[in-house]
Amino acid sequence: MIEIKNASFKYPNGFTALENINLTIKEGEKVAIVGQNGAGKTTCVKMMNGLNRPFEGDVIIDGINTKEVTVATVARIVGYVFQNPDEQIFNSTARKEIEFMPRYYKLSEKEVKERVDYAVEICDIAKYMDTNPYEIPYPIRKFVAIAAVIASRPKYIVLDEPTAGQDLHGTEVLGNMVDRLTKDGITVITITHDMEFAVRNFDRVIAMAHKNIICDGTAQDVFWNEKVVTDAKIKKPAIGELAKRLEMDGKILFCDELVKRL
Amino acid sequence: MDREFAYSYNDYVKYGNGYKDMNPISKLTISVCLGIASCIVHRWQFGVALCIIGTLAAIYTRIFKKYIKSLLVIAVPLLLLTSCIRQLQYAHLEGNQPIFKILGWQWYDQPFIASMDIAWYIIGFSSVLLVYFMNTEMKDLMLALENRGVTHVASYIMLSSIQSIIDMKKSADTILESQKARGIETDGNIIVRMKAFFPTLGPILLSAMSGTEEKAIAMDARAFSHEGGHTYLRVLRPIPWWEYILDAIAILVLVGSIVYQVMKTVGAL
Amino acid sequence: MAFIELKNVSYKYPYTKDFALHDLSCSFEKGKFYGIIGENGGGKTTLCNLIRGLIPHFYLGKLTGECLIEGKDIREWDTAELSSKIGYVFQNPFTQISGIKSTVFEEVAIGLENLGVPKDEMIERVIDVCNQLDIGHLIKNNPNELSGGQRQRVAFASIIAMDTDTLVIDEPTSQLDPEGTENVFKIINTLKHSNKTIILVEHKIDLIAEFCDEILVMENGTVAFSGPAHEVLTKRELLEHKASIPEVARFGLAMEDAGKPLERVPVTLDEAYKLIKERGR
Repeated sequence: MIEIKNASFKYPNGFTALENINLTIKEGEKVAIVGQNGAGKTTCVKMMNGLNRPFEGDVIIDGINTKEVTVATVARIVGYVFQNPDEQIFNSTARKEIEFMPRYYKLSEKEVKERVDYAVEICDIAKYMDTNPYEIPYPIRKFVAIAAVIASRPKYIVLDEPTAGQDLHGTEVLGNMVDRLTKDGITVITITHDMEFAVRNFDRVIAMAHKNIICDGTAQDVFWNEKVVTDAKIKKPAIGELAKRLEMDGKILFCDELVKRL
Repeated sequence: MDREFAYSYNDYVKYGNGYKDMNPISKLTISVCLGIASCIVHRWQFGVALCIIGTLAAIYTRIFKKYIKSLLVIAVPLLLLTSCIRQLQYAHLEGNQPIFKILGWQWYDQPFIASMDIAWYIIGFSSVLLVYFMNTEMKDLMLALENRGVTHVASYIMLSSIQSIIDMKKSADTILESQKARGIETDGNIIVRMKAFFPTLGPILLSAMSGTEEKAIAMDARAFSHEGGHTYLRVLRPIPWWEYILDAIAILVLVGSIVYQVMKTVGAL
Repeated sequence: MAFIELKNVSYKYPYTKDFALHDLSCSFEKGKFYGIIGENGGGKTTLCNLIRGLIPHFYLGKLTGECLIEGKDIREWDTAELSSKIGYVFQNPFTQISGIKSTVFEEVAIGLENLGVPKDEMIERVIDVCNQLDIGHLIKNNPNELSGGQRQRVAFASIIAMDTDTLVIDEPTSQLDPEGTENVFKIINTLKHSNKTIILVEHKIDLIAEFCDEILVMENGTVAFSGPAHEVLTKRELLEHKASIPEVARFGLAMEDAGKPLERVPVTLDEAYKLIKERGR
């Protein structure tokens, strides 16, 4: 369980990025975090693996207070994939990159292979394994970065804007990934600007604005709350917007619901 | 929009300070000529005089605090080191007169003066160069050089390298953070830190390099290789007569110092 | 006559096995707004590189077929001359800032300096463009310290200031947040009314649906579909071709499947709303 309790965060330059956040994420949940840049989304998820330690309050990961251990210790439990893969990838081939953490943990060859195969299958990057990461197209390079974190087998995995720059296929791979990881006991938390993606793949949507959480519930709770949509500066998915203009009730967000109702 | 700011580009580049507004090349000529003269003369009197000129210029351009900090970093260790070394080296030189004792260590006059000569000629040189670089924007220097016929390609390479060093420093921090985030231990003893540090070098260099190709494309889209007339938004002030005179004086001082040194060597002085 | 015309073009980047463009033929007319969509790796960016003359002048490799810009083969064009005809903005906001200018105003002027535009005219043009793109408040800022979204707007300004007839825009919003994206959309909207020829590669299909006259769907280095926007975006086959279609078009098709079709398949929200209203619920 990830517990953020009355946590505030200040940057060294004195800028307050989060004020008194409370959030609990249980194992097996699928959580999407939405909101405009500067709302504190990245700052918030970086608290979950200890990169950011709260200025006030506590962050407890499976009973461990992030203030009391090193980042690397927390990172074994909560993996974090940066938005920009270039800030993360440092090996000369995708394979070496993905094998890096399992080898760092001194696992046996068999275990290394198992983990790598698993990550590669989920990320659909088998044909890029022996390529230099810098020759892999940017959207696919993001999958290499994700695979590298999956291979280190965290219990929770945090994705920062995985959908940015992805095409339909990439977004589909991501959607399937969320389901598969959840099924295999890995909790997925993602920041995204793709509202359709959030609606389609996540049970729980958290909207952030003004350094705080302004709504935490289902996609319907978030996207059918006009104040939340305005404050978080998010865009209601097209189907939802259409249903709203047609003044339909029932908090419709999905295509088939709308078809049924018309 | 701040229209006043936009139209300020109609004027010559102006900082409103006599020293800062001087042409970067004339300033550089003066600083370097005096600096080299200081090396050639090799007398503490000259070094101290140059240092006073530099310090006055620093006060005039309102950078005294920043300047004195850097100068002290150079000057203090240099003075201590050279004087100690010279005292040890020349302790038994003929005609040495004792001057004072530190914790039982007798210091003599000749080695002391010799050490002051060395230390101050370097301090004097450093002083004028510090004032120069703290007051002169690289882009102004490159602009001045372009006006003298250096190509805008050379100027671009120079200026963009400076920026890419700044960018690399920024990306180093993020990359180190991402290593931590993956579970690589970065806190702890020196070996742990080194182990974490080396993997970061790769992405820093690679991201700097992968950026170059795109940067070249971006610059090409901005007509970088267009031939036939390049104009400038920023234009330096035409060099006034008195700058030429200052340049001439600096060059004369340099020539004078060479003559002085040559005559001293051949024994005429 | 078409302003840009490609006939049976194939192209392979150096040191690669596969062709990035494969027997591609298409043409672009003056003053129209073109959208290029399709899966990643389908050749969209390569097509942009070709039209911009980066292929074959910057990227070597093997080019066959004909690519004519204003009737003249791309191989005969000088890239510098081409850069004053065809502007180019691409995805990465960080590599499109020159790194040698210390204010946004100077950054926007950079292309004009290279073209040798007289200084007083340069200043007026930069002021105009900054106003037009709503970055007037940024002119004093250091471009190297701006956010991604702001940098992308500055990149647009530097290119638009050069006033080329044609603009090639390759995924301008893929690395931006919603606010940055919206600001870029506004810029593209102003461009739509400027009579320029625009070639826009973009995954955000709603943007394509709203702005484009014509659409090309690229797949495996060639054009899989092309035609007027409305016609292409409502094609059922697109769903199988890994190209996305607008959410409302998907909805329109689903209505057909459910046996209650609308008068036509909509591609924009406004259109969908009107069609449903007209039909009555």
